[in-house]
Amino acid sequence: MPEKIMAVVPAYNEERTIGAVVNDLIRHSIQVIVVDDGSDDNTYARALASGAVTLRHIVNLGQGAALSTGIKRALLMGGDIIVTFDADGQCRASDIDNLVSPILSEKADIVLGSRFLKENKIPFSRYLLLKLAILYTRFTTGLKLTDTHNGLRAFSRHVAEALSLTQPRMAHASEILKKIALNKWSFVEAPTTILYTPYSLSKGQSGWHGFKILFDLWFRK
Amino acid sequence: MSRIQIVLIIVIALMLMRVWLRYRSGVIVKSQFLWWAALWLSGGLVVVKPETVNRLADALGVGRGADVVIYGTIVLLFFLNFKLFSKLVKIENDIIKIVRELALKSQDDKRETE
Repeated sequence: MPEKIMAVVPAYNEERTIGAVVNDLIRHSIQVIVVDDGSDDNTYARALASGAVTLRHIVNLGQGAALSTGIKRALLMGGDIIVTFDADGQCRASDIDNLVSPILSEKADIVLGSRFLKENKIPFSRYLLLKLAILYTRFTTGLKLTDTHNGLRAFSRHVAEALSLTQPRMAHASEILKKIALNKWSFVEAPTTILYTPYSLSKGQSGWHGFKILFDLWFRK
Repeated sequence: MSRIQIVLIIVIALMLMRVWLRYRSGVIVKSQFLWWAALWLSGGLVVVKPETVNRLADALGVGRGADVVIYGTIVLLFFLNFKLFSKLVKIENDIIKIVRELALKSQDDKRETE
């Protein structure tokens, strides 16, 4: 029996890209769950029209909370492998094959996407911020990773069940890594393509967000 | 009595009245009422008889009575701020639970009607 692969896409005000993202995933025969995180635009309708299972947070909670809701739905729908995917069009569905194969062959329970394992054009300000995040992760968790804040990840079902994220906003990325280190889950990294467009850059995280993430990490459980 | 004392006494009297009204209308419970009343009353005592804190200041080795009040107030504010922050995190977590439940629930409804 083929494993059921489900993609969870948290989306906040992504009406411009969500349709294309969902189509890209469906073309690769992946079932899609979009969590509209209280968007003010037509994200919900676009996602629904594109054929995704679409959930809606009635108010904006943050990416971490949206991911958690989506993962919960994916587990309820019987997903065997759960992939997290960005709604802003930065990720490629064609990378998912590489992402899920270590789980299918039982080499790892978690696969983390890494933009640094592949030739990617990364703007310098992002490069600097990402490298700082990598150092922070190495310092706080001991994990030696090449990319710590990549939206593309894959989890086996039993890890997804045990994950239970408490960080509602952007600190969830670090929280996931912390839990990997704590629970000693097996993981590998897989190269992924990241397309930086003016749109995705405007939606992305800047240096100031880094401080907000640290605040959440230190002062929220 | 100096002018500042009169102003502060009026302010404290108003605050005490507020606390009393909040208690009477059921917004705060008895223990909260007693805490806030004690806080404002001790403030009133310091305003009317500043020498009481001078004695405290001497006992603690702080120069002036007014400084003791300021230090104490800062500690109290930090404590209240921490309590408020913890409360906000709890409320946020509760909201997340509610919103998540609603999102998952409305999906179930949709599946049943399909």
